[in-house]
Amino acid sequence: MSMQDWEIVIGCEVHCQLDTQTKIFSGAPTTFGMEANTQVASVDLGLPGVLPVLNEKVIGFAIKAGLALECTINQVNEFARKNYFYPDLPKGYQISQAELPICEHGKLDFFLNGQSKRVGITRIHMEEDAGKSSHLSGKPISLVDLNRAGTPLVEIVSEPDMGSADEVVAYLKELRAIVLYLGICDGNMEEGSFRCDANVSVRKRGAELGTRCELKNINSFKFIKDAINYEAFRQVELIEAGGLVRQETRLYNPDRGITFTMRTKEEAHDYRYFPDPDLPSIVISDEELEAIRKELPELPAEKRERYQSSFSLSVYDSEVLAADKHVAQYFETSIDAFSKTPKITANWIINEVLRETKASDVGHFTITPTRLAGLIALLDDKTINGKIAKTVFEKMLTTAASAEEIVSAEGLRQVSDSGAIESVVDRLIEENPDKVEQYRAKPKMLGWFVGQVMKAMKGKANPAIVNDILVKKLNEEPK
Amino acid sequence: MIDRSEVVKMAALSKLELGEEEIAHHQDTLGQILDYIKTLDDVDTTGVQPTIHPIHLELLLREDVVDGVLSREDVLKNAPQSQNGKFAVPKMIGDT
Repeated sequence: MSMQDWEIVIGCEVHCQLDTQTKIFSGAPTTFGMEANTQVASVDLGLPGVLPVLNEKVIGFAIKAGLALECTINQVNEFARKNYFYPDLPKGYQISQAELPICEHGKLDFFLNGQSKRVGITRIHMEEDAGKSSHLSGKPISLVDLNRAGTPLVEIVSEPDMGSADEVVAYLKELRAIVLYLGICDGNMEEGSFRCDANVSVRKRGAELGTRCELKNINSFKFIKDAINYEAFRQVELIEAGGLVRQETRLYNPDRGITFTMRTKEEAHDYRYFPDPDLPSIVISDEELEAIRKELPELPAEKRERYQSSFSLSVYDSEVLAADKHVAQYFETSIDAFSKTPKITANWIINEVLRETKASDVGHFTITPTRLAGLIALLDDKTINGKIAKTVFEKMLTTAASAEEIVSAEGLRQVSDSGAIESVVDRLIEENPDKVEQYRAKPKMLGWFVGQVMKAMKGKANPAIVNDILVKKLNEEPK
Repeated sequence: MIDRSEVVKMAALSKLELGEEEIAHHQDTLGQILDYIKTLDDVDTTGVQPTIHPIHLELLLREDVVDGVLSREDVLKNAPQSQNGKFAVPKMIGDT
């Protein structure tokens, strides 16, 4: 069989837990990792007679997501009940949105391997999360913890516009960066704050859409990629062997690298959505919408563009810097402190800073952006050369001293005095006539001389001047 | 009258077990209700927006401030069975 003959078609549903203090319809806290059933109010239990009251933050957060994804905001929208029985949903229905979600018809543009890609956003709706159930093997019971029940979510539904696992991962990374920039979700995939379901189907190139399977609750970018690739392969193999893909929900087993049918009781899914009579229509005024629009921060795509146009950074550099808002902030603060050589600052952050710290922790990195700017300023005015700068950087990791203080205290200032360099060069030429001979035949030998001068001057010589003097002297006619 | 299969499906969705007699009974009574509601089909609703809420109320919002958390003891008070601070329920098939 050949995957070449087949097209993969993927759409995503992403659940983002909104970063609020309390639940969507109750005042219970949303803190993760607390003892079971200690973050619960009567509304979350679905006790008789309780009424949901909407958390004011939720609407604003959902609108921000919608605006960032260029959606139409439905200024009148509705909550609806999605009815089903499951023990982690005490009311017997989930409050969600059906016919009139808060946002529709958006799009997300991103880059993959230098190519621009657009994915349509079908809709974004607000809803409440369910509780969490666990199953004890060998016992006839399941256990339910309702701490998560009622946590506010937005579900972001994409069009089936993606054709490979790599596209899905790029889409998700961009989407995650956006919700983090917006400050509406902490993006923590392990804790389930950012969860992806992928609808995967395959078809012969150009043919009608095939039957899709839903891959549910995959909690890392790597697993998403592996799960989609496995699932597409499975479907192609099945069809080529004469079988039919059954529409179903599948889970991914990362240990075995396979997807498998989620075992559920056989039942028709019929959620019988209807408008929730407990919650009047949500009406968003033009003024509210404009106020939220004004609060929107600069988003990754805009930053990338600005970094390229204002600082002449490459596509790659701008992508790395803009991918995480903390890194972007670090870069911009550093540029504010020393603005002459943004490309050099970018290189130092990408190659050195991000080797020492995780992107998300860069805000707490011991070398603050201002300290880094101090180091780069010394490089720029040729107080130190690039090699010594790396040494100073290493030292900055373990002390609070500024680059300048370290350079002064350790005598690391670059030697640009041509007299001092010349005397080293003269001695070197005198002591190594054989190497000078070799140089005449093989100009690449210059590197050996540069190395020797640097070694003699403890790495502090100005490399450009060393180079000039060496070339001049080595090419002089022998006396 | 509605189909027997529709009654069976609704019973399943509501987690109800109905006997043959009950199914027949509900076929009859639910059918009557639906026939009655059908009266509305006679009204010409061309150009009329669907009514989502019959009474127009303003949506009230709450501040994002912690309030009304129950003790775990109270949360579990009505549970017929609990274990390790969690509700214990008949085993659900699935998930893992």
